[in-house]
Amino acid sequence: MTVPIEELIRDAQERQANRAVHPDRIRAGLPARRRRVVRQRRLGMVAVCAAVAGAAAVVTVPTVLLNGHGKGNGATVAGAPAPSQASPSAAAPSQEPTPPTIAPVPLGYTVGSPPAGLIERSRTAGSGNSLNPSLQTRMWSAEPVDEYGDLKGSRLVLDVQQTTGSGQYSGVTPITLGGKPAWYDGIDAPDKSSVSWKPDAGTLVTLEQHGLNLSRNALIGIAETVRPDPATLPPVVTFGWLPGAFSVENVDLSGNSTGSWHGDVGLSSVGPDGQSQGRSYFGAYLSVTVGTSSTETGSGEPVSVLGRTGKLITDPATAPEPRLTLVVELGDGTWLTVSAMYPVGGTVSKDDVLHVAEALQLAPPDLSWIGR
Amino acid sequence: MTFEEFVSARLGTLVRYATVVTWDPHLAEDITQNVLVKASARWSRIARMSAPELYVKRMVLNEFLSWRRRRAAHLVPLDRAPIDALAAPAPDAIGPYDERDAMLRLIAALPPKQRAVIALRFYEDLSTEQIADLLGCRTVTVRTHLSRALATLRGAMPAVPMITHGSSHDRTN
Repeated sequence: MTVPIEELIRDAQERQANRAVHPDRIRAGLPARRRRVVRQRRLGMVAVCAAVAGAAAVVTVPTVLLNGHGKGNGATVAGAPAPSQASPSAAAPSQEPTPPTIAPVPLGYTVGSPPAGLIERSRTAGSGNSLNPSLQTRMWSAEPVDEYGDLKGSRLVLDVQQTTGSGQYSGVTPITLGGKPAWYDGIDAPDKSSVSWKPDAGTLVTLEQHGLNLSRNALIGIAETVRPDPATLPPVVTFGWLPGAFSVENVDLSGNSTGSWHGDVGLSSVGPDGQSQGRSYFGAYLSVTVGTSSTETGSGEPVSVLGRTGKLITDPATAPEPRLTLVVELGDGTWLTVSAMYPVGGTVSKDDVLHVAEALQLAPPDLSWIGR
Repeated sequence: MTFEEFVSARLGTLVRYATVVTWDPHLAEDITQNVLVKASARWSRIARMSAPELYVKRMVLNEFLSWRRRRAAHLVPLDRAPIDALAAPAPDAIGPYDERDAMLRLIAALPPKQRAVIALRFYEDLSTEQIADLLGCRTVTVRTHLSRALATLRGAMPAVPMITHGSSHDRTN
């Protein structure tokens, strides 16, 4: 022994701290983490964790602020968002809103040559995280997406985000991709690896493989096939009425075939300061899913909506964010699910949920890309 | 301080802290992201606290220890290669470098709570009372974890001198 043990411990801890991943990598991963939380919220599996939601800047994903169009003139009060007014009829709005529109989200890029056997199954655009306000994700896999639209197995993921930040952080290897600087992250290879590059100053593209056991050269070869793509992700619904001011948090479409798909639009309430409340306990969260099935299989109160009989499920078990979910089969093999989670002290009433559904306009989903 | 300002100012420190607590950079990344998502959800409340950063660090600690409980894991795998890269032995100082290498591996093999305690004690320079407050346990429990951790480390590195002084906050023995 030549060194006191306390010094050895401190030295080891300092060297271990130096192995920490770069903060930019943590930031870059937050949107994906947020997406997972949002999905969990949609499932009612997370009771105490509100999603990180978007605040101010929204770069490429359109934000719909319904100030002046919704109940309460859009001024959602912190702690008591959008207090419900007992509507005598779900189809009778207390104020006539101007139907908001959500423009299709440009996806920007696609993978020209994904590995053999992989097909595209998921497209997601999320605006919710103000730390990284714009992110579009496309995923290819051999395994099917589950009934919630999640891909848990091996997959190829293409993330496009608007950021002035670099794709470089400790542990990545600088490489050249198409004559431009790029960065290869093989820290977790072969289970997980990625290539990032900046096609322009404001855009960061990341191609990531999970569980495909691709070599560095193989992944770089696939990255070289990534090319601009005019494809867009249109929302599967537009809203004619909402119980207050809400902003769009995510637009998703996923599936395994034209006979098996789900599209989702998620929204968080907006506070009086014009900021999304999705990151606070005070915010309400609204999710509308259209697809070939519904994951909400629990029993509920029969309700008449859209000329059909659906069910309204009240789930107090998700407190402090009670959840109301409306499920209705639309008659052509398509199911509509409207789910509202709201904090204690504020309410989204049953009538509000029915009203949202009645005022929805369903858009024919673009399924042409699923399975390609 | 807004959440964004907190992240901009403290994320680097936070992830280094998480890496020392978990002894695993990838787990630290995972835990830090989870904690940030949770912290952002309740930031209006955290920001009003006297020490928001301390609260977030407590969240990291809790996340790590609960993660450990969920997975019932006891050891953190530590690749040899990164250690070698970090502690390449110098020709004229083989002894100290060997000890430093050994210490990296020994800390990795400590039970999670003991590793967390020595992280708080030596990396964060917290007193045993402060550690007890963070962990939600009695001071004597902290001292037990600390003494067992030090005993393990000393036992694996014979002839290492006893600590004869504490940090600026208190004494450990």
